[in-house]
Amino acid sequence: MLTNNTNTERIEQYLEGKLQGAELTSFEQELQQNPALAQEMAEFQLLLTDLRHYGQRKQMKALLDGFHQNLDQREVEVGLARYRTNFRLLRRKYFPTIAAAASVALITVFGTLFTLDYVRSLEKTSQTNYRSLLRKIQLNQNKLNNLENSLDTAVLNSIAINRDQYLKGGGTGFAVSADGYLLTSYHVVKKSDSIFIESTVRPDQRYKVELIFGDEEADLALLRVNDKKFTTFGKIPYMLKQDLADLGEDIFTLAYPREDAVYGEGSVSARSGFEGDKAAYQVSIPVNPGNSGSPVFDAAGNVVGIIKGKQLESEGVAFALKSPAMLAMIGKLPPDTLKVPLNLPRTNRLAGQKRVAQLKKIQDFVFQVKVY
Amino acid sequence: MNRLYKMHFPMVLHLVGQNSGSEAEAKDVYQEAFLVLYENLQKPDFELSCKIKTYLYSVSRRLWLKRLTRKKGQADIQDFEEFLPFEDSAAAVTENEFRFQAMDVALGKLGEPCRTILEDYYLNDFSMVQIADKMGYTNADNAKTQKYKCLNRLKKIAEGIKNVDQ
Repeated sequence: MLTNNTNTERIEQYLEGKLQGAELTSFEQELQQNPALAQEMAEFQLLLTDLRHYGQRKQMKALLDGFHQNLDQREVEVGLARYRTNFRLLRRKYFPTIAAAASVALITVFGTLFTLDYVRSLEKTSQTNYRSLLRKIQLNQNKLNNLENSLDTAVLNSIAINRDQYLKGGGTGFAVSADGYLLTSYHVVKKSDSIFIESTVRPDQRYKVELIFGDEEADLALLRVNDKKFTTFGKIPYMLKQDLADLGEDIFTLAYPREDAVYGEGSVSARSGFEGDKAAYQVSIPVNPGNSGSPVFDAAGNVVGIIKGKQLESEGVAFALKSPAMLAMIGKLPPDTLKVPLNLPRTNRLAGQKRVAQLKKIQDFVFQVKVY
Repeated sequence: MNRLYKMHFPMVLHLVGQNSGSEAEAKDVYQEAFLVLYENLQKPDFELSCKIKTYLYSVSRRLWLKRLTRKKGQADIQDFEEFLPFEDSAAAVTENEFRFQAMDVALGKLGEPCRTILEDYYLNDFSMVQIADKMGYTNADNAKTQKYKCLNRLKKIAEGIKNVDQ
């Protein structure tokens, strides 16, 4: 079939709506009378769709290739390992490999256990000097409540007391995303049946939360509000600092060592934590049980750490996990752990403000964590 | 989208790896499945009737089965996820890939400067004046004439390829 340029040109102009007046009418007429022209137009349209489809696909492929190059090899390995463990055991073929791997694993496990045990026995003496700042509710207190309850149920039947009967302990936590993620210390929520957060600044905010992920070694836990009445925390005014804080930098914290938010200030006293722990700072902030999990801010209002514990025999020696270590843990979360993507705050809206003004904004995002 | 891509790649890598494929093949299959999902999502009448994960798995499974059959004559896949048995849409899937390949070959045969002119005009939305400028034609009309010549040649080549394949 012989096609000429003019025909193609007219078809294209017609399709683009550029033919007008007499040209348009004559073309449309010709289209009706001349099946060859109609066929040519159909073929032309097909070719264009093919071409556009090709273009889109090519663009998309380039995009996907980009994604592929960005793949973190280690993450892929981790993901792959999850499938392998589910599946491989079913396959006889791999039995010798599994057997070999298992024996190596066993030896490693027991070897490590023995070594750990030994190291632990060495460490035990120093462990007693360290104390995590979990707020323990004393048994006596609960008994008292019980007694009061039974004595005068009619009067004292307030929900607060009933509620606190089962309270095991508590700490502090702070919001890291508007849609309900919070950070606290892992030891605060480790042995919990249920976890609630409360704010004395905004008494309406009492929510049930769930533990999403906890890291025992770093002593950090990610929580998420799991409550029907929760909508949002609002825009978070601070962000997690990516860099390390400097020695001697002014820092402050807001925490719930009792039923009210308590402010404390101090400075970064050392770049390492308890017994040379590289992931933590030593800070000179007065802390008490209940401070665990409270955010440590620098003067500009960036979160530089999270309080985790203190040294017993000396005053003014507390420890805080460094913010880069927190970010690292969040970054390493297995992909399926988060039901909703965790969008960390990217802007700091506290820099340059007076401390009082900063605290007014911060207090809405720091919560008392109650563990039952 | 990047997150989504990252999330399910290990699954397909495992699927293909378990069934005698290489990592490069896994990548191909996965990207093809991803494209299918993407293209389908743009259709107004498309409804995703299952989890994205299941969808990607099912398409990848289908594609890999097809490739295996082509390689070995017969094929059987060991499954570890639930999947939808796409029998009919699999045809459309390969059809799309086939159209893409055909166009790729045709554009390759077309050669320069035709390929650039057509891609610039139809895919990158350049104006004829810009193209004339870029390719060194004296004016937009000359470039336009050239473009139509190219288009006609492409059409012939594309028809040729389709006929050979059928």
